Amino acid sequence: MISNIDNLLNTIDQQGLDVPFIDGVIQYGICASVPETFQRGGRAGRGDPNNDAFFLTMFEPWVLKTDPKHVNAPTTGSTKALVKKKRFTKEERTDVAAIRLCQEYGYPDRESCIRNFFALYFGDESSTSKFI
Amino acid sequence: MYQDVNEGKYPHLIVQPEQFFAFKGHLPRLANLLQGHSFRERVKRLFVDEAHNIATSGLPRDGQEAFRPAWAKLNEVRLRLPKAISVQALSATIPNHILDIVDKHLLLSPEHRIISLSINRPNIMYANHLLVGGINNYKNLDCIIPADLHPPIRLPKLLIVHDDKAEVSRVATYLNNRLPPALQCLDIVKHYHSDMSQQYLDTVFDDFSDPDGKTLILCATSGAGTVCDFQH
Repeated sequence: MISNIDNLLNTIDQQGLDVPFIDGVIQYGICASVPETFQRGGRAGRGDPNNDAFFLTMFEPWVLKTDPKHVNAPTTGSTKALVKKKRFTKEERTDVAAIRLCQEYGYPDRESCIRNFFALYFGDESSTSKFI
Repeated sequence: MYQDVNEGKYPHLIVQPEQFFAFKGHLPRLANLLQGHSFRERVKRLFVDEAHNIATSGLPRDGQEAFRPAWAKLNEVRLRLPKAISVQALSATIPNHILDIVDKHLLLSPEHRIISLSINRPNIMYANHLLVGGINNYKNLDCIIPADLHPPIRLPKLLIVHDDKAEVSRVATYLNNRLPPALQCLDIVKHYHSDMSQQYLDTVFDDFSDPDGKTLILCATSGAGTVCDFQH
């Protein structure tokens, strides 16, 4: 029960934090899903759209060693549940898109631009969403 | 007050999904109102904010029970309300597969329109970086506080998000120790997680929200930002 309450608290809060003028958000350790990753990054640079800000994900070495083909965690929102088990390790909870984001994106070229990744993932086709 | 609500004195009601469903055998007052024909007929529009929660909080995930199953029962509310009402679902982060779930769940009309703005704000730069030597090597964060910190170097205002409460405290201590001794007691680096007292959380949060506040680096669990009026 305690862990459920904590989870609840976390979910509520991800959408709640609206502190202006944060210069940067650092996600220390990979985030288990892409929507959560995006929500966290979205806390940066509020207040004044002219203030530049950054969102840095620092991910663990195991992320690079994981074969995305063998990730079991269901994509966020999928109704497929894993087998009943009390506690999952972070490796087991992290979804495949989040792993790909760290493995394949974030290099200085068009193909691996993180903006493009988010645009693709969220089905955002507007012209301002892409590589700049 | 619920008498007034029933009679339509308030044009807008802001409610939580849980208020529509019985809890431990008790029917919340809003659920009670919804059983009355006159109240149902009064409702003209239904807005679902943070609609992705229907899937992300309402459905079971990773073999765990849903955090807030009431989210995935909103279709029952939709069905009880008049068929002709307008329904709007809002979200800042809704990938296509979740949009499909929301669409079906809220029984949106086939003619519904999707209005979307770009999700990538132009002033945010993204980056990914490997934690060299693993997650316990806090040297990866040394770049935040230069070894020779002195005026006019300005520290950026940073939020560092962690999974683990113990790690939050350790990293905050580590970073604080990198400050010159004279600055170490000035609350520049603070830790923030749900084991701390409400009073502490409020104080730190208010200071961090203040553009002129003392705290510049906040180490927090993903629960940070607590406007936490949540009892536990």
